[in-house]
Parts: sequence; C-alpha cells; structure tokens
Amino acid sequence: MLHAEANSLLPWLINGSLEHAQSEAVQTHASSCVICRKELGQLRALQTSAEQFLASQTAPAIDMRRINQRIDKLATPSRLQNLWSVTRSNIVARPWRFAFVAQSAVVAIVATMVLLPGARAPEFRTLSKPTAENAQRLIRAVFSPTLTLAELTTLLGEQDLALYSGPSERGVYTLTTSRPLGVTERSAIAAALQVDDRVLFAQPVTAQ
Amino acid sequence: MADVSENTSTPDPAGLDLALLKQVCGRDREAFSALYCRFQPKLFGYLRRMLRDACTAEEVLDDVMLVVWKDASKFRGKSAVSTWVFGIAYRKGLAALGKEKRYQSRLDHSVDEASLVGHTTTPDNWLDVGLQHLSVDHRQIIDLTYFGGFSYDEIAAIVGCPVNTVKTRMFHARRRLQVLLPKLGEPRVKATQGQVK
Repeated sequence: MLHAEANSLLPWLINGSLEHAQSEAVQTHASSCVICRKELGQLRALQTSAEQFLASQTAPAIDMRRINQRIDKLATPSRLQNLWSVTRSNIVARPWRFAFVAQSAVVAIVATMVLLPGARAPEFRTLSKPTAENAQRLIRAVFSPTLTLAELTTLLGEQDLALYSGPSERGVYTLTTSRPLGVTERSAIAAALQVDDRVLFAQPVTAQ
Repeated sequence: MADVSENTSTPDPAGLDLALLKQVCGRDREAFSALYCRFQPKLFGYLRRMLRDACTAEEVLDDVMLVVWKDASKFRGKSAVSTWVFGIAYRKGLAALGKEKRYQSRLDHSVDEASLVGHTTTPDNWLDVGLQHLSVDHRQIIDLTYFGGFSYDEIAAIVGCPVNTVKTRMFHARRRLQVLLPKLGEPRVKATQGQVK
C-alpha cells in the first residue's frame, strides 16, 4: 500500500472501522513509516480524548411524550385533510365523473361572466362622439387650408356658430350652435356655410 | 418495549436496529420506543455538538425520529439503519443551524491561533473546543469518525458526498488539528504519543 493511501486511512484504523485486509495493510505500512507512526500516535490521542469527552457527557432523560403527541397528531388527520382524502379517492375511482363536473363548472363560470350585465366591458367613447343631448347642436365642416383664423371666426359668427372641437386628423371641425336645433335647421345652416367657397364640406351631426 | 429477540437470530446492534425498524414500518409504537431509546444518547450528543445547544438538540432529535417514524418504509437497506438515521440527523442539524444563524458557514481557515491562547479548557472538552475552530464540513467528518465510530463509506452516505471527498476533508481537518490541538492539549497528546510502539 502506498504511503498516501495508508496515511489517509489512519483515522479509520484508529476507530476500528476498516475491513480486516485493509487494516492489516495500513498497519504493515505504518510499522515501517516514521511519518505514519507519528500520526498514529496523535490520532490515538484524539480518539482517547473523544472517548473521554463522550464518557463525560450525559444525555437528558428520555421523554417520549412530545414525540408521541406529534405521532398521534399525524395519525388523526384534520377535517381539511379528510375532505381532500375523500375528494382524491373519488377522482381516482371515477375520473370521468370528475372531468364532467370540472367541465360543467368551467362552462358555468364562463356563462356567468358573459351573461351578467355588470360583467360587460365599458363602452369606449371619444370626447367628440355625439350624445343624444348635444347632437342637436353639432355640425361637421371642412374648411379650405387657406382660411385664416380671423376669417374662420367671422364665418362662424355670421351663422351664430362656435368651435366645438377639431380639427381631426382629416381636418374635420365640429361646430356647435348656440341652442338645440332640428336637423332641418342645421341643414340650412350647413347649406349656408357651403355657399362660401372656403367651406369645402358641411353637414349636421345625427345622433347614433 | 418491543421484544425483537424472537424475530431475529442476529443479536448484533445493526441487526437489532433493522428488526426494530421493520416493526416500525408496521406502525409498532413499542418498537419505535425501543429504537428511540437506542439512538437517543448518540443522536443527542451528535446534535448537541453540532448545534451547541441542548434544547435545540432535543427538538431536532425529535424531528429526526419523527422522520424515522414516517419514512421507515422508505428505508431500502442499502446501508445500516444507524447510517440512515444519522444521515437524517445531519440534514436536520444543518437546517437548524441555518435557521438559528448559529452556522458560521465555512469558517475561515485562517482563524487566529492566538485566540486559543488562554482559552479555558478542561481535560474533557479540549478536543471539543478545538473542533469549534474547524469548518462545519471538516468538523462533521472528525465528529462522525471519532465520536460516532463510522467508517468512511458510512460517513460518505451520511453526509451525501463521494468517499474521496470524505478522505480529502479528513486530510485537511487533520492538518488543521495538528496546528490547533497542541495549543489546547499538548501535554495529553505527548503523553499518548509516548505509548505508541
């Protein structure tokens, strides 16, 4: 046996856990190796000290009450564990029945979400979208790009109109009258606007 | 207490442990009590040395034996029962060390030897004091070898590492102790060395 191998096994030679053949080989090497013999002495001292230390230590008196209580607790499962145990055994015994129940539950949940009025998504509205109330005042118009702001103000003043919103991306303005008017009256105002060459388009807004 | 002498013709400790564990598989409380009594002193000592606190050691000991009760049927017999039980104790002990932050993880090997000067040691505890200056990994190998009497194969199974790792850790632990222990127990070491042939 090589020195390194024998030396690494010295602690287990001392504690007596080496197999017989291995023990013999290590002892044979140690008898002819000064380093291993010296280390054997140190390790024996360690072993002796360990044994003395163990002999001086006392374990507390054996009290099995706590662990018995814990084992008893394991033996009596809680109500939740019982419920789960029954459910699990049902699932294992009748998987198709469980699948049907699960599917029905999913359908019921989806149906509730779709049919309940409160569950609908809120309607999307833009600021310029006409409501029934203000639709009676609005006219949409497109003006010539050459029209100046002063000219626009004059033009709207002549028809008792004001700017409500705009222009949109396509250059559409929404105009409002000073009071609610019918479609016919607003059509007349729109027609009057369109007489001017600087007005490319004008039409009353109808409620949707 | 359970009488296992009828069930086994092998009166050796390992055979007795195995016979008791088989009865524990059948939920035999008396056999479990017998097994508990057999392991309690060694396990308590091992856990107390690891955790440095008797109360925590007692709690962890119960945790270990509860695992033995619950998982007795999982024991495959690839090792001795004591190896299996100490493997559980090793893992539970490390977990407890982590929880209580008592675990000075992988203690710096450059520990100041001067700190040992003036350290109060008694004939009983000088080795124990010296071991506290080793890393947890190294201390476990020394502990399981000298206090537990386990072979390197068994220690590898307990700690869950290859045999060569056990030998390497033992090598480094010995080198470390060669520096540390003479400061704590030099007279005793020399006295014992004198007995070597």
